[in-house]
Amino acid sequence: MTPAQRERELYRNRSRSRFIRASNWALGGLLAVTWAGETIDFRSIFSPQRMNNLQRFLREDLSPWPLRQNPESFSWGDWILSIWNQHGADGLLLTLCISLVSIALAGVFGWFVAPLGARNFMHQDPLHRTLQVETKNESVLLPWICQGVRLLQIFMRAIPEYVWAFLFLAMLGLGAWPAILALAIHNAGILGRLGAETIENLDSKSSRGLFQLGASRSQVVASSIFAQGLPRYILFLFYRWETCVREATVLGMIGILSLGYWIDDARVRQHYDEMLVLVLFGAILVLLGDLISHQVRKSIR
Amino acid sequence: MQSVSLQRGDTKVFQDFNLQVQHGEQVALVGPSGAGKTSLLRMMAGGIPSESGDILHGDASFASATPKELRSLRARVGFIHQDHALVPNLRVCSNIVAGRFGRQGLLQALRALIAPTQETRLEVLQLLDQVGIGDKMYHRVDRLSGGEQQRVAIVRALFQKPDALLADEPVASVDPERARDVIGLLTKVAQEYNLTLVVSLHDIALAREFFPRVVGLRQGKIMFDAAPLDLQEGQLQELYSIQNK
Repeated sequence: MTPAQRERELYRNRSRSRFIRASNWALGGLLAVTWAGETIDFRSIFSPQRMNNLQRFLREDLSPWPLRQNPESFSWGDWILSIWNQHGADGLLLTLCISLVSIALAGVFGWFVAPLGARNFMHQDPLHRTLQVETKNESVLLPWICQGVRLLQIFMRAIPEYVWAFLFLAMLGLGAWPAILALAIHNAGILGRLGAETIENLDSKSSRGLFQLGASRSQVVASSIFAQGLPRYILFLFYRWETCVREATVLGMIGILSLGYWIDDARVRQHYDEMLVLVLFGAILVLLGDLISHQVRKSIR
Repeated sequence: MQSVSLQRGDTKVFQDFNLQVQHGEQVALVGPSGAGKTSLLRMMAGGIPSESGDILHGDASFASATPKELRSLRARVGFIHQDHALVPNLRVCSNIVAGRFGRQGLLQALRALIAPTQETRLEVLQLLDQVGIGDKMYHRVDRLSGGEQQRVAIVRALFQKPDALLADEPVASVDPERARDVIGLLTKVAQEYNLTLVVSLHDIALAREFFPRVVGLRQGKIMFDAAPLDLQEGQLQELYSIQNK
C-alpha cells in the first residue's frame, strides 16, 4: 500500500459522530423545507415598495429636521446638544443607574447562593474525598437544598427580563424599579448558575486541606471557595453588566423612562432623525460599558 | 491503629493492619509507590474512614466519633500535604490563620481571615521567622516559590497547635539539598513543640539520617519496623524489588 493509499484509508476510517452527521442532515432538510414551502417569502424583502420606503427613510427621514427646514443656519453641534439636553442625558443616566443597581443586586445574590447550587460541594461527601463533615440529617438535606436552589435559578433566568418587567410594571407602576428588579432577578439566576459552575470547577486541593484540619463547610466557603472563585465570578459579573446596559435601554420601550423610552417616543412621533441620535447615545454607552468591562476583565486575568 | 482495614474500589489497601506510634515519637514511613503510605497517613488524620478496626488518638476513637468530634480530632492533627493544599490567591497570613478553623466557629474564622488580632499576627510572624520566611507574611501564596509554600504549609500545621504532625511526601519534588533542609526543619520543630511526627518518604537515606524509627510499607503490610541502625540491606531490597510487587 502506497503512503497516499494508506492516508486515504486512514481518512476513510476516521471516527465520525453519527449524531453530528444526523444533525447536519436534519438542518439541511429543514432549510430546504423552509425554502421550498415558501413559509417565508425570501424575495419580498426586495419588493419595489419596500425599496422606496428604505430610500425615503435613509434620504429624508434620517436627515436632521432643522437641516431640512433651514440649511444655512443649521449647526450639527447645536442640534445634537439640544437632543442631549432634552432627553438624552436623563435617559442615559437612568439607563446607567438601572444597569448598575440591577447588576449589583444580581451579583451579590448570585454569589452568596452559588455555593448552595454547587453539586460537588452540597454533597454528603464534599469534593468526593470522604471527609464526613456533616451530620446524618444534613447529608439527606444537602442534595435537596442544592436541587431546590438550582430549580429556583432556572425559574429566575427562564423568564425573560421583559416578562419580569411587565409583571413589575403592573405591580409597582412606572419608575426605575420594575426594570431594576426584572434585570436583577433574571441575571441573579444566570450569575448564580455561573457561580455554581465556577465553584464546581475550582481546584479542590486547598478546600480539602482545610477540611482535613477540621474546618467546617461554611469556613471552607468563606476562606477557600470565595477567595479562589471570586476573580472568575467578577469576569462573569462584568460580562452580564454589559448585557444589563443593553437591556436597560431596550426595557424603556415598554414604558420605563430609560433611553429606550425616548427612542420609542421619537419613533412614535416619527422624528427618526432624533431617534437615530438617541440610538447613537445608547450605542456609545454600550461601547463604554464594553471598554470598562474589557479592561477590568483583562486586569483580573 | 488497631486491626484497620481499607478497600479502595476492588483493591484491598489494608487488611487487619496494626501500628502504634507513641506521643513525641518521630517515624519515617518508607515504601514503593502504591504501598499505601498516603492512605495510611490520611486515615491517621481522620481524612478517610477505615472500613473496620479503629484508629485511636490518645483515648479518642476516630471510628465512633460524631461529625463534630471528628472535626475536633482533625484539629489535633497537623497534616502537611504533598501539594501543600494552600489557597493560592490568599496571603500567607490568611492561609496560616486558617490552621485554627477546626477549633473556631464561622464568625471567629471570618474575623481571623479579615482582621486578625495583633496577638494572632505576632504569633504568625514568630512562626514564620522560625522557618525563615517572616518577610513573606503578607505575600500572596501563589507568588512564592515551591520551597516557601512548603514552609507556609508547615507553619499552618504548627499554628493549628496539633498533638501530631503528619507529612505526606514533603520532599517529593525538591532537590536533595532542600530535601535535607525540609526534613531537618520538620524534625526540629516537632522536637521543639513535643509533637509526634510521621513522615512518608521515598528517600531511605533521609529516613535513616533523621528518624529514630523507620517503618517499611509494601502492599498495605509492614515489611519492617526498626531503628535505622538495625535495618539490613536485604530488607530494603525486598521492600523496593519490582518482581515481588
